[in-house]
Amino acid sequence: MMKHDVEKVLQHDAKQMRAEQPPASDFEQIRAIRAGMQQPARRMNVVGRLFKGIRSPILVSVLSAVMVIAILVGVTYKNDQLPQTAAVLNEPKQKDNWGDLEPFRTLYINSDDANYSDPTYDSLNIAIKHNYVQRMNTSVTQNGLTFHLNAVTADQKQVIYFFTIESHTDQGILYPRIIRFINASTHQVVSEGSSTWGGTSLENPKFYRGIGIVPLDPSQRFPNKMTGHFQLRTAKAELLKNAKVAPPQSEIHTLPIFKIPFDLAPQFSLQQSQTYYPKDMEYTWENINLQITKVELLPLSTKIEMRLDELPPPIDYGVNYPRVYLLSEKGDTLTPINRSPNSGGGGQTADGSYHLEYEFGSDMLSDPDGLRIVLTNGQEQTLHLH
Amino acid sequence: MTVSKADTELHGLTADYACEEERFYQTVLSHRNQLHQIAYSYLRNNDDALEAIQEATYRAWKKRKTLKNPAAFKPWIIRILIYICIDEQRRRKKISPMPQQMPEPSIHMDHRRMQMLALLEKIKPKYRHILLLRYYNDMTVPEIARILDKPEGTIKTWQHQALKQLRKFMDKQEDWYDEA
Repeated sequence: MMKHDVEKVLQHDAKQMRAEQPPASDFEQIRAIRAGMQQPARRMNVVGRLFKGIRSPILVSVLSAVMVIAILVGVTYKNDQLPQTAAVLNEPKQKDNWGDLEPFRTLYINSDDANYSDPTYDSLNIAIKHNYVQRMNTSVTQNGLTFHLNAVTADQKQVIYFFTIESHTDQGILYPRIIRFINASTHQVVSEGSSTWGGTSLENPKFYRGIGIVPLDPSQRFPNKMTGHFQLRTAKAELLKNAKVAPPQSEIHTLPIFKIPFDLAPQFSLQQSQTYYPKDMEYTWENINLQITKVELLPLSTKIEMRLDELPPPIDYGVNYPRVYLLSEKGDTLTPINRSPNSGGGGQTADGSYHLEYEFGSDMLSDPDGLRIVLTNGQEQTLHLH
Repeated sequence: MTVSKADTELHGLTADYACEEERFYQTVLSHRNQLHQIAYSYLRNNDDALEAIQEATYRAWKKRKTLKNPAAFKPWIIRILIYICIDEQRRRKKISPMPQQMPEPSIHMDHRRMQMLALLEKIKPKYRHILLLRYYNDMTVPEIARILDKPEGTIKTWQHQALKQLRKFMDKQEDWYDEA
């Protein structure tokens, strides 16, 4: 056979592959990239290294983000008391209490993949304080494992769920590999995948605790009834007690899909978002005009959209996009709201300007008086909500 | 507002560190379509391709300090991705899931294409990279050389060897030519 024949076969095969390749939506790709940056614990758990303290570079950077928020507030309001301000800002979080869900709060304290500066921490903290959480207590037992859905909270854009998995045999539990959520009324897929974080302890690999997020498409009807599909994997518990060695693939058992049905309380679909289109919130970033064009508040997230006249000059990996921080104001109290470290995407508009979107946690359920939007160059303005 | 010099420096330092994540994310995002195409060409499954991108993003972020030249970011992250894909292919060979656990195939693949996939997975990884990047992702020899961090001459030699090895496997496949 001539060389060019082999090449022809390859080219033909490649052509067919492209033709049959299902298009991956931007949404899926973005979610994968975000998950890659946000959730090192998925693989950390495989080697049983959860609850081992602060090691991950992501965690270090996230912790530094807390410091930035603290320092920003310090710089902006109390230049002469910088360290004290940072300490005071962190202190309330140490004192937070999630009641019966308190064990889940430890996931933010002890694990490598999420901490106090995660935007979901703020949102969940406020949601629990305002009883905006539905206790589920739904369990499914099969193949020696019990999957327990403890509680959920939701808004138009996401469902956040608290879950535990318990093993009744000698098998320890690995992170859920495939997760899918189905609208039980329409049988349509709500989400192919779900960001989760959590894990087992080295001492007890037979008990897994986690929190997960299901992104919702706000343009679709709110899914009042859902079924979560989880593919779980196990390996001998003894193998998971070694923090340094991953269990061999031959020892990992993939179990049939767990199907977890649950209903979402009507309050979640009734809670409307609050949208503002400020006219006069103008800043400059790198000497370029910047204007806040839209602020959308939901119970579990806040989105800030802005217009930048042109793209800032590049630095390091790419563009020096504006660095934005958010503070919720109620009376004399200022509460920093965490930003999703990976938000800030956008693109060029027809008029040549740039549209950027930033996502934060939410303090909406506390009914704040205003939102103070701060740039790291020190400029700040307040959006009055009442 | 008055900010002392010390405060400004501290502020700048920590703020830059915090925003590094954002810039990194934006850069990965700008290459997402190509990363997905490459991962899919190796794994032929959308979910696995997305998972490979997720893992590559994580590893790249973790190892970002080892990247000396920011301009080489794209070949660097593609290199990380293709190593992950090769690992996943090895893992698939080792594990044969029970039938009820097999994910439902999202596409129909004919017998010939299944054979070709199996043949590609038999080829040495370094040769497999060449075939998949060259023929399934339309990359040039210089582009592949940058990704694999090898001289262009080496890539040309590997391409020749890869085609030779594939031809050998195809010759052994008795029904390959019968169905052509």
